[in-house]
Amino acid sequence: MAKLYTPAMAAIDRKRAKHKGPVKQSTPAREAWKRLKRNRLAIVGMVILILLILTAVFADVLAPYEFDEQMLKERNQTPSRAHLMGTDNYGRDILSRVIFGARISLPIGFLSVIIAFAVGGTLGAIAAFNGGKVDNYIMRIMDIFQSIPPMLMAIAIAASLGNGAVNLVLAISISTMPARSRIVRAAILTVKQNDYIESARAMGASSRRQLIKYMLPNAIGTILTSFTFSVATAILTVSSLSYIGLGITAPTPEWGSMLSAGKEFMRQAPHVLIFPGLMIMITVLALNLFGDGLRDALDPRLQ
Amino acid sequence: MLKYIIKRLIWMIPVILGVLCIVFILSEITPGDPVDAVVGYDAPAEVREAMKEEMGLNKPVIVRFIIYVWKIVTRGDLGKSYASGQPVLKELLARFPNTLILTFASIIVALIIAIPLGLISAVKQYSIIDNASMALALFGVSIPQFWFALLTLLVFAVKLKWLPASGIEGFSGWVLPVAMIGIANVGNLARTTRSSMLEVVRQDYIRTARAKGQNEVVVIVIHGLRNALIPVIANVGNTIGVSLGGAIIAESIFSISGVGKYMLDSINQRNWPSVQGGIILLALAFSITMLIMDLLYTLIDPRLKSEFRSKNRIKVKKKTTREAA
Amino acid sequence: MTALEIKNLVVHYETPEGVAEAVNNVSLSISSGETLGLVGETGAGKTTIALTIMGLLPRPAGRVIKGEILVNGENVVETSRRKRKLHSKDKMLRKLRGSSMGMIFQDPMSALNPVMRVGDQITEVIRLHGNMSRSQSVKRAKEMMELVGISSVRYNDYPHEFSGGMKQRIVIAMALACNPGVLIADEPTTALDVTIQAQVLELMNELKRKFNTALLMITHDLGVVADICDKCAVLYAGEIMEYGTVEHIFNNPRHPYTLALFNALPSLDKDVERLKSISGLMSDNMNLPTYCTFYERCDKRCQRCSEGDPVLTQIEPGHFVKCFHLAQEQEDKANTPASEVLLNE
Repeated sequence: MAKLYTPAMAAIDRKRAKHKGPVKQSTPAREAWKRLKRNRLAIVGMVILILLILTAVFADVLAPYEFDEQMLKERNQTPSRAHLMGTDNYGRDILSRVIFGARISLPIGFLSVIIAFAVGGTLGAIAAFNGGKVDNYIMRIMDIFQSIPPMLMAIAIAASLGNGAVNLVLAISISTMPARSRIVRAAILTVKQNDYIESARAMGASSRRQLIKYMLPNAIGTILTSFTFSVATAILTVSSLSYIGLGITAPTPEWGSMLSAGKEFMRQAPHVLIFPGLMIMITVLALNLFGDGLRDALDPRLQ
Repeated sequence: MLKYIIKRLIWMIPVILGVLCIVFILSEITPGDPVDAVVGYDAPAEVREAMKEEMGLNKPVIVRFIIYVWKIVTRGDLGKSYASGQPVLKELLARFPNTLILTFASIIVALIIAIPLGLISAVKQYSIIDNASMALALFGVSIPQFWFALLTLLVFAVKLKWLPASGIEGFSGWVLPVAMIGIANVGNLARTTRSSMLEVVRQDYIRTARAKGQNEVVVIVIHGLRNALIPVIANVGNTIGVSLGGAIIAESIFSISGVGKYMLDSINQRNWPSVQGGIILLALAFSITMLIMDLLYTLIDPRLKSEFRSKNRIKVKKKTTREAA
Repeated sequence: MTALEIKNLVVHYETPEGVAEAVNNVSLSISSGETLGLVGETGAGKTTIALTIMGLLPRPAGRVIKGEILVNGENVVETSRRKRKLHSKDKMLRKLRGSSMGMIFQDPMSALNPVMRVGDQITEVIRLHGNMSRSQSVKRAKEMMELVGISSVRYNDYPHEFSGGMKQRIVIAMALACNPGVLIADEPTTALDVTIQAQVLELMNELKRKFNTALLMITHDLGVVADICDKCAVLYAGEIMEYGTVEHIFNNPRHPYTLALFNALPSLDKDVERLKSISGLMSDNMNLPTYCTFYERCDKRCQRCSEGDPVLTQIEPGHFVKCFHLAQEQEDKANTPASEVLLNE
């Protein structure tokens, strides 16, 4: 709703906030969860995400075939009852490969983002907290890193290090690290400006205490939201790199590399191109929906 | 203003040095002996040794780095392609226009669709158009671009045979790749326009414009859009970066002979000088794009311009006080 | 001549959390050359009244339920929901805004478009309503700038190059550029330094006299009212509590809320140890009581106050109070409901 926030409405809000305060114990986190629960799309995203994680964990149980089981008589078959998503050019069951694919994309996606945030976030937090020269030096170095577009950087690193999951994680986390450091820095700087940090300082809180007790909890909302979006981007990068043959290679059933293999048989077996791509899209969509919901729930002003 | 541009250009020197440093480190950590790539595994030891000497691989790392940078800075010498023996720079420059056309044509297509869409979505928030464009935006950021490209290729080139499947043959060859990359970016840009515009329409000066009796379209487009454009420009810069980085994938799917495809071929041939050259060229292109975007901000927002001015003023003041003391 | 007349205005905000009754049965009238002060604390509905007059209520939340607002004798509000959706009055309002009514906003810092030259922003309104060529409009805009005390050399400067007080002068120039019959000033000095406040008020007063404009001065500062207003209305929870000339309100305040407001002011002549604050909060306008809205905070409340809602009653010519205690005194004298007296005036 395009509504102006008039002083009258602000007064209403303030009053309601005051009324609610003592009656019901409500932490910001609980409030955010309440708002998140009301957002249907976010819940859909969350449910899909949980299902995908379960799929990855129980891939052995769920998959009807082994991911590398070749049924040479049943090559490039269109979807049927025996093979719900058809088979590829080696006669492997695509459904099984797609299910096992979740074991590759999700862990790599999450892990690379965790590393990027751990390293970049620490640097960003140091920069934001100290300000001045330290901030300047750290951020200038990040500037240099960022002058290479992240995708190009990831490709360069992956090409230099060679294929494999570990190298892929490294490539993605190094290439996205500067952007993550910026997010954490910005989040902490925003919080730092608030008066309650000033008052904490005035009351003699030590620097570490300020950072841990006051700034991080208040910056965590922004960081959490951006974490979700980052995982989505990371999963896209994993599949893109594997698609061009830098990352996870056959016969490991990575979604991107499945598409790359399927491209060769695009004319004869277009169905091979559909399902792995759909899986990537659903995963990323779920993360984006959840991230959107998280952002709105954590910052109700944005609505 | 001129001062600012010069300052930004000077800042590009450490950036480029940094990029060269990163690229050099990457080539150092690459497993495998570069000599293998040139003369082959089975070459006799004395040939290998001679090649090693010629390539300067016997010198210490620091010396090699300085030579590497020196050659690039003074002569633009990015080395020779292992595959063709041609200078990398020459091969890159021959392909660069295609990459530029693809990147900038697609961003223009994206902006032409995204800005009106974002505007309408912001003004008619929660309307059908808003919901539809936001859904489109969500899909736009969620679909892997290479998959979307494959599907469009499948539909338009393979099934319908409307457009050529690969290679750039005149105008029609560009349509599919430009449209594909353009549309893939619409969502993201429309989203930025919308949220920025939503912020702007709440501002007091929009109310002031309405209080003047100004017509709503003028209020939104003249008073609103220019203010809302600043975050959009930032996003355009990033999108160009993503497009330049994604050039490798897009060009390989549509078989466009650009820098990206050249790099991918070189990666597969372990032709490192060409890969490094490509990275340096694209990073440079990206840095220049970001510089242009920064200059655009100052054109749009007069506040930034005077900020630079006042910063300089403060510096001058400091100097004079120091001199006085 | 009556320039602006508000009759029985009721405005609600319809939000997902419920309906907020922002303005409740307010009637006012201002003649040309006259200044009416609208006083009340934050959330009393002052700004809502201003926005309703201008037709700038936030959509779709803000809604006029009842009443009329006459500007130059034309009714500018649409109470029917269906017609409101069709924007039936929009065109007329657009023509009146800027030409027949101008508005000065609370925060000059954000009221000007940051990416547009200030001169062009003044010229814009003249071009819209002035029937002048571009060069004539620019000339007129420069005249207006000089009139509010800003050198016309600065025509091409951007808002960020001006101080707050100067920006407010620009806003005033913009609001008065087409010589509107009605000027609405929504706390025009609140965001300014105290030293600048007096200058801006003086300027507004001077220009009002010069153009013979009807001025609706919205403020929470009784000092401003005493300075430049002719009449004053005290607003509380969307209702007028006391209404009269400045002399009535300042020399003979009768409503317990008005009295409380004066008690909360520091005074130079009286030696008071502590200022008296008004205890409690204003009633939630999502959930207004059926009895007197000031009941909870009133120090004169009695049984009767919690049982019914008093009406605005005339206690002396031109002086109206909405309180049972005072109404009772007047019951024998006059038995006419206030709003009627007001309108027949």
